[in-house]
Amino acid sequence: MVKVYEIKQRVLANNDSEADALRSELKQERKFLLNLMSSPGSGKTSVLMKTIALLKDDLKIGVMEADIDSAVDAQTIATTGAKVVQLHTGGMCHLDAGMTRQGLEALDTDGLDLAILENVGNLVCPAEFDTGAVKNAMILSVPEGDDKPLKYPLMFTICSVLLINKIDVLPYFDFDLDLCIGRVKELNPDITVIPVSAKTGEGIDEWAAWLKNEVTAWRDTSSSETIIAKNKEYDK
Amino acid sequence: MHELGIVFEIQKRLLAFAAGNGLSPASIASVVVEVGEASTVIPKYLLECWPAAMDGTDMEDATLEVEVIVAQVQCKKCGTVYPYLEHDKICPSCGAWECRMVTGQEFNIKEILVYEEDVPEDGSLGGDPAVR
Repeated sequence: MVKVYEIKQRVLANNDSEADALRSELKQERKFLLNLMSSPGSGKTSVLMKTIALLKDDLKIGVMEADIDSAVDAQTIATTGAKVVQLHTGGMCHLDAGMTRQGLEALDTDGLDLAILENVGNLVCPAEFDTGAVKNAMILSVPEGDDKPLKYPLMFTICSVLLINKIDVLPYFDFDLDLCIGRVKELNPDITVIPVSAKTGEGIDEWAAWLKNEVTAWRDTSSSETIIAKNKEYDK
Repeated sequence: MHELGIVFEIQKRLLAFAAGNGLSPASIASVVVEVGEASTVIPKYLLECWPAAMDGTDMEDATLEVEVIVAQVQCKKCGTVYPYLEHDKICPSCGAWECRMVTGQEFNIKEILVYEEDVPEDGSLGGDPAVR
């Protein structure tokens, strides 16, 4: 004979509460955490290089580079003078809130305004795991194709901002920018879409201004409830 | 491929459940999870990872059961609710692709089955036990 216990809880409920706890601590410390996600090779590190260059006089920035292995991205970011740590996920395809917390401790956020987590290159798994970030951002690059919102809808649903990168090569690809933005807005009407090129610098100003505005708003508003609630909307 | 990490997460939840209810982990017979067709969890891999994670633990005899929840969506154009994958992601009534997910993204622990011999009989149990 066995007894049956009705549980009916999300398997990831623990991660969700760890993520909420981390966000609350960040709010108290007035620090902003951005979770940046994309496919491998979409230009996360290149976009970050340009972003740090634009914002480093206004904000103290630290970067966590998460990869399955290697330290090449951390070495690249280090050349900007920003504080950086390389996190190895040991084969895992995403970071969860516990790993993000360890990363922040390794980075040592003392004195930082903005910590950026460059998540593992992957459009699937990182969308499932709340890292505790204040905002989620993603990059889609032109060579990946305008159909990605159809293939990876959850990722587009949980992000507050989408950068469409490598727009300098638009003439060479069958990438319909308006069609892509329409598909994204259909999934997530509130998302901000900014076409950029890390190569030419086009659009990076607008993205940096968006980010700076978010960091300032997070630091200066007294209640974190609305922002946290917004982040959790997808999480039913 | 994150099923192994997810299995470890389920393992943590089971240990917490056992501790919270004064049960030994070895008394857990089985856990039933619900996996939505449109979640990023693949039942086959979950089941394959299960013994690897449980081997050598107090719960190594516990089994995993997966119940798949069909992905249902509602068409944003005409309101028809239809099974998403069966209809190839196209509304059978009007042909539109735009839709809102109704079910299919779940990933829940539905229930945990415990051998009754190890259940204390002082009524101190949490949850909502029912004899099966």
